[in-house]
Amino acid sequence: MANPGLHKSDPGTGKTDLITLLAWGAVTASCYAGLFIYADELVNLAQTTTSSCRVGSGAEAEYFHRPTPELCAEVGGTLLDSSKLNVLVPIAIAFLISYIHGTFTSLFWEIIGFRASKQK
Amino acid sequence: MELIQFIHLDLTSAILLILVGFVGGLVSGFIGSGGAFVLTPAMMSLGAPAMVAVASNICHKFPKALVGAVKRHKYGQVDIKMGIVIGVFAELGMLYGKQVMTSIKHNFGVVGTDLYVSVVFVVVLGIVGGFVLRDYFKLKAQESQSLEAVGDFKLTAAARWVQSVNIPGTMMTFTTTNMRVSLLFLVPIGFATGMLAATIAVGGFIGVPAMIYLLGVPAIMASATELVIAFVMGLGGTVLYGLEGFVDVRMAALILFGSLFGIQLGAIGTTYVKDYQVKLVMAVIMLTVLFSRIFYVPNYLSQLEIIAPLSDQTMKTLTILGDVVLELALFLGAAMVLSSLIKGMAEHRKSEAMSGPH
Repeated sequence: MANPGLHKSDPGTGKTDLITLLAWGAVTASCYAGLFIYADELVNLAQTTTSSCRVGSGAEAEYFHRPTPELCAEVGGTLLDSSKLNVLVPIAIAFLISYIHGTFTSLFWEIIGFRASKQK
Repeated sequence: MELIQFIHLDLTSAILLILVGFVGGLVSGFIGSGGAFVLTPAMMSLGAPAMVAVASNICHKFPKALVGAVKRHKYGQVDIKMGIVIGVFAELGMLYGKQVMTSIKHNFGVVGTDLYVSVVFVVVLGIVGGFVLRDYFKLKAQESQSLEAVGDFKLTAAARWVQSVNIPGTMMTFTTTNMRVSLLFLVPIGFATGMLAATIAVGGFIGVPAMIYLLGVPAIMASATELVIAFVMGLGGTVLYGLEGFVDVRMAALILFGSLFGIQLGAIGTTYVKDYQVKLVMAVIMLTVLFSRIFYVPNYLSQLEIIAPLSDQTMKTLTILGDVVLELALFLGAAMVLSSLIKGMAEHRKSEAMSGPH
Protein backbone atom coordinates (compact mmCIF):
# COMPACT_ATOMS: atom_id res chain seq x y z
CA MET A 1 0.00 0.00 0.00
CA ALA A 2 1.29 3.45 -0.88
CA ASN A 3 2.39 5.68 1.93
CA PRO A 4 0.12 8.73 1.80
CA GLY A 5 1.53 12.21 2.01
CA LEU A 6 5.01 11.52 0.72
CA HIS A 7 6.53 12.86 -2.43
CA LYS A 8 6.40 10.05 -4.88
CA SER A 9 3.19 9.59 -6.84
CA ASP A 10 1.80 6.11 -7.06
CA PRO A 11 3.12 4.46 -10.21
CA GLY A 12 0.62 4.48 -13.00
CA THR A 13 -1.69 7.05 -11.46
CA GLY A 14 0.05 10.13 -12.91
CA LYS A 15 -2.11 10.29 -16.02
CA THR A 16 -5.34 9.84 -14.05
CA ASP A 17 -4.24 12.57 -11.64
CA LEU A 18 -3.58 14.92 -14.53
CA ILE A 19 -6.99 14.23 -16.08
CA THR A 20 -8.66 14.85 -12.70
CA LEU A 21 -6.70 18.09 -12.31
CA LEU A 22 -7.67 19.27 -15.80
CA ALA A 23 -11.33 18.40 -15.16
CA TRP A 24 -11.37 20.42 -11.90
CA GLY A 25 -9.47 23.19 -13.71
CA ALA A 26 -12.15 23.32 -16.39
CA VAL A 27 -14.93 23.48 -13.78
CA THR A 28 -13.04 26.24 -11.92
CA ALA A 29 -12.50 28.21 -15.13
CA SER A 30 -16.20 27.91 -16.03
CA CYS A 31 -17.08 29.11 -12.56
CA TYR A 32 -14.93 32.25 -12.89
CA ALA A 33 -16.10 32.81 -16.47
CA GLY A 34 -19.73 32.69 -15.28
CA LEU A 35 -18.92 35.11 -12.50
CA PHE A 36 -17.58 37.70 -14.92
CA ILE A 37 -20.19 37.10 -17.64
CA TYR A 38 -22.90 37.82 -15.07
CA ALA A 39 -20.86 40.47 -13.21
CA ASP A 40 -23.38 43.28 -13.80
CA GLU A 41 -26.26 41.18 -12.48
CA LEU A 42 -24.17 40.19 -9.42
CA VAL A 43 -23.30 43.82 -8.71
CA ASN A 44 -27.01 44.66 -9.03
CA LEU A 45 -27.91 41.91 -6.53
CA ALA A 46 -25.18 43.02 -4.10
CA GLN A 47 -26.32 46.63 -4.25
CA THR A 48 -29.98 45.77 -3.68
CA THR A 49 -29.69 44.13 -0.27
CA THR A 50 -30.55 47.64 0.88
CA SER A 51 -32.71 50.33 -0.75
CA SER A 52 -30.90 51.77 -3.74
CA CYS A 53 -31.24 53.92 -6.81
CA ARG A 54 -29.50 52.98 -10.07
CA VAL A 55 -28.32 55.51 -12.60
CA GLY A 56 -27.33 54.13 -16.01
CA SER A 57 -27.00 50.46 -16.86
CA GLY A 58 -24.51 47.64 -17.39
CA ALA A 59 -20.90 48.15 -16.33
CA GLU A 60 -21.40 51.93 -16.24
CA ALA A 61 -24.26 51.79 -13.69
CA GLU A 62 -23.94 53.86 -10.52
CA TYR A 63 -25.74 52.91 -7.33
CA PHE A 64 -26.91 55.27 -4.59
CA HIS A 65 -27.87 53.82 -1.21
CA ARG A 66 -30.73 55.02 0.99
CA PRO A 67 -32.35 57.15 -1.72
CA THR A 68 -35.59 59.10 -1.56
CA PRO A 69 -37.83 59.01 -4.67
CA GLU A 70 -37.21 62.75 -5.19
CA LEU A 71 -33.41 62.55 -4.99
CA CYS A 72 -33.36 59.46 -7.21
CA ALA A 73 -35.51 61.22 -9.81
CA GLU A 74 -33.24 64.27 -9.58
CA VAL A 75 -30.18 62.24 -10.68
CA GLY A 76 -32.22 60.51 -13.39
CA GLY A 77 -32.13 57.12 -11.68
CA THR A 78 -34.53 54.25 -11.07
CA LEU A 79 -35.52 53.06 -7.60
CA LEU A 80 -34.79 49.36 -7.27
CA ASP A 81 -36.63 46.66 -5.35
CA SER A 82 -34.47 45.43 -2.50
CA SER A 83 -34.28 42.05 -0.80
CA LYS A 84 -32.16 41.12 2.19
CA LEU A 85 -32.01 37.57 0.85
CA ASN A 86 -29.64 38.79 -1.88
CA VAL A 87 -26.89 38.66 0.74
CA LEU A 88 -26.93 34.89 0.30
CA VAL A 89 -25.66 35.24 -3.28
CA PRO A 90 -22.03 36.26 -2.53
CA ILE A 91 -21.96 33.77 0.35
CA ALA A 92 -23.14 30.92 -1.89
CA ILE A 93 -20.62 31.93 -4.57
CA ALA A 94 -17.80 32.07 -2.00
CA PHE A 95 -18.69 28.57 -0.72
CA LEU A 96 -18.91 27.22 -4.27
CA ILE A 97 -15.53 28.71 -5.25
CA SER A 98 -13.91 27.48 -2.05
CA TYR A 99 -15.03 23.94 -2.85
CA ILE A 100 -14.31 23.85 -6.59
CA HIS A 101 -11.21 26.05 -6.74
CA GLY A 102 -10.01 24.66 -3.39
CA THR A 103 -10.09 21.12 -4.77
CA PHE A 104 -8.30 22.27 -7.94
CA THR A 105 -5.50 24.10 -6.09
CA SER A 106 -5.00 21.15 -3.74
CA LEU A 107 -4.59 18.76 -6.69
CA PHE A 108 -2.40 21.30 -8.49
CA TRP A 109 0.22 21.51 -5.72
CA GLU A 110 0.09 17.76 -5.19
CA ILE A 111 0.76 17.03 -8.86
CA ILE A 112 3.67 19.43 -9.12
CA GLY A 113 5.22 17.82 -6.05
CA PHE A 114 4.29 19.98 -3.07
CA ARG A 115 2.90 17.48 -0.58
CA ALA A 116 2.63 17.45 3.17
CA SER A 117 5.23 15.47 5.08
CA LYS A 118 3.30 14.49 8.19
CA GLN A 119 -0.28 13.84 7.15
CA LYS A 120 -2.27 12.05 9.81
CA MET B 1 -28.42 59.40 -0.51
CA GLU B 2 -24.87 58.05 -0.83
CA LEU B 3 -23.01 56.84 -3.94
CA ILE B 4 -21.47 53.38 -3.38
CA GLN B 5 -19.46 52.70 -6.48
CA PHE B 6 -17.93 49.28 -7.16
CA ILE B 7 -14.74 49.69 -9.18
CA HIS B 8 -14.33 48.94 -12.86
CA LEU B 9 -12.07 45.89 -13.04
CA ASP B 10 -9.50 45.73 -15.82
CA LEU B 11 -6.79 43.13 -16.49
CA THR B 12 -4.08 44.99 -14.54
CA SER B 13 -6.18 45.39 -11.40
CA ALA B 14 -7.34 41.75 -11.67
CA ILE B 15 -3.73 40.50 -11.86
CA LEU B 16 -2.73 42.73 -8.94
CA LEU B 17 -5.58 41.38 -6.78
CA ILE B 18 -4.70 37.77 -7.69
CA LEU B 19 -1.02 38.31 -6.80
CA VAL B 20 -1.67 40.05 -3.50
CA GLY B 21 -4.24 37.35 -2.76
CA PHE B 22 -1.65 34.63 -3.37
CA VAL B 23 0.94 36.19 -1.07
CA GLY B 24 -1.70 36.88 1.61
CA GLY B 25 -2.98 33.31 1.35
CA LEU B 26 0.52 31.89 1.66
CA VAL B 27 1.08 33.74 4.94
CA SER B 28 -2.41 32.94 6.28
CA GLY B 29 -1.99 29.24 5.51
CA PHE B 30 1.16 29.22 7.61
CA ILE B 31 0.43 31.49 10.58
CA GLY B 32 -3.38 31.43 10.50
CA SER B 33 -3.84 35.05 9.52
CA GLY B 34 -1.83 38.01 8.36
CA GLY B 35 -2.61 38.61 4.70
CA ALA B 36 -5.59 40.88 5.21
CA PHE B 37 -3.86 44.06 6.30
CA VAL B 38 -2.43 44.67 2.83
CA LEU B 39 -5.57 43.73 0.88
CA THR B 40 -7.83 46.53 2.10
CA PRO B 41 -5.31 49.29 1.19
CA ALA B 42 -4.62 47.50 -2.12
CA MET B 43 -8.30 47.56 -3.06
CA MET B 44 -8.64 51.18 -1.95
CA SER B 45 -5.68 52.16 -4.11
CA LEU B 46 -7.55 50.65 -7.08
CA GLY B 47 -10.40 53.05 -6.31
CA ALA B 48 -12.75 51.00 -4.12
CA PRO B 49 -14.51 52.97 -1.35
CA ALA B 50 -13.17 52.02 2.12
CA MET B 51 -16.32 50.15 3.18
CA VAL B 52 -16.44 48.15 -0.06
CA ALA B 53 -12.73 47.25 0.34
CA VAL B 54 -13.24 46.12 3.96
CA ALA B 55 -16.39 44.16 3.08
CA SER B 56 -14.87 42.43 0.04
CA ASN B 57 -11.77 41.57 2.06
CA ILE B 58 -13.96 39.91 4.70
CA CYS B 59 -15.93 38.07 2.00
CA HIS B 60 -12.74 36.53 0.56
CA LYS B 61 -11.49 35.69 4.06
CA PHE B 62 -14.07 33.12 5.12
CA PRO B 63 -13.85 30.76 2.10
CA LYS B 64 -10.04 31.08 2.21
CA ALA B 65 -10.01 30.26 5.93
CA LEU B 66 -12.40 27.35 5.29
CA VAL B 67 -10.11 25.80 2.67
CA GLY B 68 -7.06 26.33 4.90
CA ALA B 69 -8.83 24.87 7.93
CA VAL B 70 -9.97 21.79 5.99
CA LYS B 71 -6.42 21.23 4.72
CA ARG B 72 -4.83 21.61 8.13
CA HIS B 73 -7.56 19.51 9.76
CA LYS B 74 -6.31 16.66 7.55
CA TYR B 75 -2.91 17.08 9.22
CA GLY B 76 -4.56 16.84 12.67
CA GLN B 77 -3.71 20.46 13.53
CA VAL B 78 -7.18 22.00 14.00
CA ASP B 79 -9.30 22.10 17.16
CA ILE B 80 -12.66 22.79 15.51
CA LYS B 81 -14.60 23.13 18.78
CA MET B 82 -12.13 25.64 20.21
CA GLY B 83 -12.13 27.59 16.94
CA ILE B 84 -15.92 27.83 16.85
CA VAL B 85 -16.24 28.84 20.53
CA ILE B 86 -13.57 31.55 20.27
CA GLY B 87 -14.95 32.53 16.85
CA VAL B 88 -18.42 33.25 18.23
CA PHE B 89 -16.99 35.64 20.85
CA ALA B 90 -14.67 37.10 18.22
CA GLU B 91 -17.79 37.94 16.23
CA LEU B 92 -19.10 39.93 19.20
CA GLY B 93 -15.71 41.60 19.60
CA MET B 94 -15.76 42.54 15.94
CA LEU B 95 -19.18 44.18 16.30
CA TYR B 96 -18.00 46.11 19.34
CA GLY B 97 -14.72 47.07 17.62
CA LYS B 98 -16.68 48.36 14.62
CA GLN B 99 -18.81 50.48 16.97
CA VAL B 100 -15.71 51.91 18.67
CA MET B 101 -14.27 52.87 15.28
CA THR B 102 -17.55 54.51 14.22
CA SER B 103 -17.74 56.42 17.49
CA ILE B 104 -14.14 57.70 17.17
CA LYS B 105 -14.79 58.70 13.57
CA HIS B 106 -17.94 60.54 14.68
CA ASN B 107 -16.09 62.45 17.43
CA PHE B 108 -12.61 63.00 15.95
CA GLY B 109 -12.99 62.40 12.20
CA VAL B 110 -11.03 60.06 9.95
CA VAL B 111 -7.69 61.27 11.37
CA GLY B 112 -8.87 60.23 14.83
CA THR B 113 -9.57 56.66 13.68
CA ASP B 114 -6.23 56.56 11.82
CA LEU B 115 -4.40 57.59 14.96
CA TYR B 116 -6.38 55.07 17.06
CA VAL B 117 -5.50 52.30 14.59
CA SER B 118 -1.82 53.30 14.76
CA VAL B 119 -1.79 53.29 18.57
CA VAL B 120 -3.37 49.81 18.57
CA PHE B 121 -0.79 48.67 16.01
CA VAL B 122 2.10 49.97 18.12
CA VAL B 123 0.85 48.65 21.47
CA VAL B 124 -0.41 45.22 20.37
CA LEU B 125 2.23 44.42 17.77
CA GLY B 126 5.04 45.86 19.87
CA ILE B 127 4.20 43.88 23.00
CA VAL B 128 2.96 40.65 21.41
CA GLY B 129 5.43 40.65 18.49
CA GLY B 130 8.36 41.34 20.83
CA PHE B 131 7.25 38.56 23.17
CA VAL B 132 6.85 36.04 20.33
CA LEU B 133 10.30 36.93 18.92
CA ARG B 134 11.93 36.59 22.36
CA ASP B 135 10.27 33.21 22.78
CA TYR B 136 11.59 32.11 19.37
CA PHE B 137 15.19 33.02 20.28
CA LYS B 138 14.85 31.25 23.63
CA LEU B 139 13.58 28.04 22.04
CA LYS B 140 16.18 28.17 19.28
CA ALA B 141 18.98 28.60 21.84
CA GLN B 142 17.63 25.68 23.92
CA GLU B 143 17.53 23.49 20.84
CA SER B 144 21.09 24.26 19.78
CA GLN B 145 22.35 23.67 23.35
CA SER B 146 20.74 20.30 23.81
CA LEU B 147 20.96 19.28 20.12
CA GLU B 148 17.41 17.99 20.24
CA ALA B 149 14.04 19.33 19.24
CA VAL B 150 13.05 20.73 22.62
CA GLY B 151 11.62 23.82 20.96
CA ASP B 152 8.54 22.00 19.93
CA PHE B 153 6.44 22.78 22.93
CA LYS B 154 6.55 23.94 26.53
CA LEU B 155 3.72 25.38 28.63
CA THR B 156 4.10 28.92 29.95
CA ALA B 157 3.37 29.61 33.62
CA ALA B 158 0.17 31.45 32.55
CA ALA B 159 -0.99 28.45 30.52
CA ARG B 160 -0.27 26.05 33.38
CA TRP B 161 -2.38 28.25 35.67
CA VAL B 162 -5.22 28.59 33.13
CA GLN B 163 -5.30 24.81 32.67
CA SER B 164 -5.33 24.26 36.43
CA VAL B 165 -8.31 26.54 37.11
CA ASN B 166 -11.57 24.68 37.59
CA ILE B 167 -14.73 26.79 37.61
CA PRO B 168 -17.71 24.42 37.79
CA GLY B 169 -20.31 24.92 35.09
CA THR B 170 -17.89 26.71 32.75
CA MET B 171 -15.40 23.95 31.94
CA MET B 172 -15.03 22.82 28.32
CA THR B 173 -13.08 19.84 27.02
CA PHE B 174 -11.15 20.13 23.76
CA THR B 175 -10.13 16.77 22.41
CA THR B 176 -7.74 17.76 19.59
CA THR B 177 -5.64 20.03 21.78
CA ASN B 178 -6.26 17.64 24.67
CA MET B 179 -7.15 20.22 27.29
CA ARG B 180 -9.93 21.27 29.63
CA VAL B 181 -10.32 25.03 30.05
CA SER B 182 -12.93 27.34 31.50
CA LEU B 183 -15.07 29.17 28.95
CA LEU B 184 -14.36 32.32 30.97
CA PHE B 185 -10.81 32.36 29.53
CA LEU B 186 -12.00 31.86 25.97
CA VAL B 187 -14.46 34.77 26.06
CA PRO B 188 -11.87 37.59 26.44
CA ILE B 189 -9.51 35.92 23.93
CA GLY B 190 -12.30 35.76 21.35
CA PHE B 191 -13.51 39.26 22.11
CA ALA B 192 -10.00 40.77 21.83
CA THR B 193 -9.37 38.84 18.59
CA GLY B 194 -12.57 40.24 17.07
CA MET B 195 -11.86 43.78 18.26
CA LEU B 196 -8.40 43.66 16.72
CA ALA B 197 -9.85 42.27 13.48
CA ALA B 198 -12.27 45.20 13.32
CA THR B 199 -9.42 47.65 13.96
CA ILE B 200 -6.44 46.41 11.94
CA ALA B 201 -8.07 43.57 9.92
CA VAL B 202 -5.88 40.85 11.46
CA GLY B 203 -7.36 39.40 14.64
CA GLY B 204 -4.90 36.52 14.56
CA PHE B 205 -2.13 38.76 15.89
CA ILE B 206 -3.91 38.45 19.26
CA GLY B 207 -5.77 35.17 18.77
CA VAL B 208 -2.78 32.97 17.90
CA PRO B 209 -0.35 34.23 20.61
CA ALA B 210 -3.18 34.11 23.18
CA MET B 211 -3.91 30.48 22.36
CA ILE B 212 -0.19 29.65 22.58
CA TYR B 213 0.83 31.55 25.72
CA LEU B 214 -2.42 31.75 27.71
CA LEU B 215 -4.16 28.47 26.84
CA GLY B 216 -1.11 26.32 26.11
CA VAL B 217 -1.93 25.33 22.53
CA PRO B 218 1.16 24.47 20.39
CA ALA B 219 1.93 27.20 17.80
CA ILE B 220 1.17 25.01 14.78
CA MET B 221 -2.22 24.01 16.23
CA ALA B 222 -2.97 27.58 17.32
CA SER B 223 -2.29 28.95 13.83
CA ALA B 224 -4.50 26.19 12.34
CA THR B 225 -7.33 26.79 14.83
CA GLU B 226 -7.15 30.52 14.05
CA LEU B 227 -8.39 29.62 10.55
CA VAL B 228 -11.66 28.35 12.08
CA ILE B 229 -11.98 31.59 14.06
CA ALA B 230 -11.33 33.57 10.86
CA PHE B 231 -13.99 31.51 9.07
CA VAL B 232 -16.63 32.21 11.74
CA MET B 233 -15.75 35.92 11.87
CA GLY B 234 -15.55 36.23 8.09
CA LEU B 235 -18.92 34.58 7.53
CA GLY B 236 -20.64 36.80 10.10
CA GLY B 237 -18.86 39.89 8.75
CA THR B 238 -19.90 39.08 5.17
CA VAL B 239 -23.55 38.86 6.21
CA LEU B 240 -23.34 42.18 8.10
CA TYR B 241 -21.54 44.11 5.34
CA GLY B 242 -23.54 42.31 2.63
CA LEU B 243 -26.82 43.49 4.14
CA GLU B 244 -25.54 47.05 3.77
CA GLY B 245 -24.75 46.41 0.09
CA PHE B 246 -20.96 46.70 0.36
CA VAL B 247 -19.72 43.24 -0.75
CA ASP B 248 -18.20 43.23 -4.24
CA VAL B 249 -18.12 39.51 -4.97
CA ARG B 250 -16.05 40.05 -8.17
CA MET B 251 -13.16 41.53 -6.18
CA ALA B 252 -13.52 38.89 -3.47
CA ALA B 253 -13.43 36.12 -6.11
CA LEU B 254 -10.27 37.52 -7.74
CA ILE B 255 -8.43 37.69 -4.43
CA LEU B 256 -9.71 34.22 -3.65
CA PHE B 257 -8.31 32.96 -6.95
CA GLY B 258 -4.79 33.76 -5.77
CA SER B 259 -5.25 33.12 -2.09
CA LEU B 260 -6.55 29.56 -2.48
CA PHE B 261 -3.30 28.66 -4.24
CA GLY B 262 -1.37 30.43 -1.48
CA ILE B 263 -3.22 29.01 1.52
CA GLN B 264 -2.76 25.41 0.37
CA LEU B 265 0.96 25.94 -0.04
CA GLY B 266 1.25 27.70 3.34
CA ALA B 267 -0.64 24.84 5.01
CA ILE B 268 1.68 22.27 3.40
CA GLY B 269 4.61 24.34 4.70
CA THR B 270 3.50 23.81 8.32
CA THR B 271 4.10 20.08 7.99
CA TYR B 272 7.82 20.63 7.30
CA VAL B 273 8.66 23.08 10.09
CA LYS B 274 9.13 23.04 13.84
CA ASP B 275 6.66 24.83 16.08
CA TYR B 276 8.99 27.76 16.76
CA GLN B 277 9.47 28.53 13.05
CA VAL B 278 5.78 29.54 12.90
CA LYS B 279 6.55 31.92 15.77
CA LEU B 280 9.48 33.44 13.90
CA VAL B 281 7.41 34.20 10.79
CA MET B 282 4.66 35.67 12.94
CA ALA B 283 7.06 37.85 14.94
CA VAL B 284 8.87 39.15 11.84
CA ILE B 285 5.59 40.13 10.15
CA MET B 286 4.21 41.74 13.31
CA LEU B 287 7.33 43.78 13.98
CA THR B 288 7.72 44.89 10.35
CA VAL B 289 4.07 46.00 10.29
CA LEU B 290 4.73 47.85 13.54
CA PHE B 291 7.72 49.58 11.93
CA SER B 292 5.49 50.77 9.05
CA ARG B 293 3.43 52.81 11.55
CA ILE B 294 6.40 55.06 12.32
CA PHE B 295 5.91 56.65 8.91
CA TYR B 296 2.15 57.25 9.28
CA VAL B 297 1.96 58.70 12.79
CA PRO B 298 3.63 62.12 12.09
CA ASN B 299 0.93 62.79 9.43
CA TYR B 300 -1.90 62.13 11.87
CA LEU B 301 -0.27 64.18 14.63
CA SER B 302 0.25 67.03 12.17
CA GLN B 303 -3.36 66.90 10.98
CA LEU B 304 -4.59 66.90 14.60
CA GLU B 305 -2.28 69.93 15.20
CA ILE B 306 -0.40 68.10 17.97
CA ILE B 307 2.88 68.80 16.16
CA ALA B 308 3.88 71.57 13.72
CA PRO B 309 2.21 71.16 10.30
CA LEU B 310 4.09 69.07 7.75
CA SER B 311 4.26 70.01 4.07
CA ASP B 312 2.08 68.06 1.63
CA GLN B 313 5.18 66.62 0.00
CA THR B 314 6.55 65.33 3.33
CA MET B 315 3.19 63.77 4.21
CA LYS B 316 2.98 62.09 0.80
CA THR B 317 6.54 60.72 1.07
CA LEU B 318 5.92 59.39 4.59
CA THR B 319 2.69 57.68 3.47
CA ILE B 320 4.45 56.02 0.53
CA LEU B 321 7.26 54.83 2.82
CA GLY B 322 4.71 53.41 5.28
CA ASP B 323 2.85 51.59 2.48
CA VAL B 324 6.10 50.14 1.14
CA VAL B 325 7.13 48.82 4.58
CA LEU B 326 3.61 47.35 5.07
CA GLU B 327 3.86 45.50 1.76
CA LEU B 328 7.41 44.45 2.65
CA ALA B 329 6.08 42.81 5.84
CA LEU B 330 3.79 40.58 3.84
CA PHE B 331 6.36 39.72 1.17
CA LEU B 332 9.02 39.05 3.81
CA GLY B 333 6.62 36.67 5.57
CA ALA B 334 5.78 34.94 2.28
CA ALA B 335 9.48 34.55 1.43
CA MET B 336 10.11 32.97 4.85
CA VAL B 337 7.20 30.55 4.37
CA LEU B 338 8.45 29.52 0.90
CA SER B 339 12.01 29.15 2.12
CA SER B 340 10.90 26.99 5.10
CA LEU B 341 8.82 24.84 2.77
CA ILE B 342 11.55 24.34 0.15
CA LYS B 343 14.22 23.71 2.80
CA GLY B 344 11.94 21.31 4.69
CA MET B 345 11.10 19.36 1.54
CA ALA B 346 14.77 19.11 0.56
CA GLU B 347 15.69 17.77 4.03
CA HIS B 348 12.78 15.36 3.87
CA ARG B 349 13.93 14.02 0.47
CA LYS B 350 17.48 13.73 1.78
CA SER B 351 16.43 11.72 4.83
CA GLU B 352 14.24 9.53 2.63
CA ALA B 353 17.16 8.90 0.27
CA MET B 354 19.46 8.10 3.20
CA SER B 355 17.03 5.61 4.66
CA GLY B 356 17.14 3.90 1.25
CA PRO B 357 14.44 2.19 -0.84
CA HIS B 358 11.98 -0.06 0.98
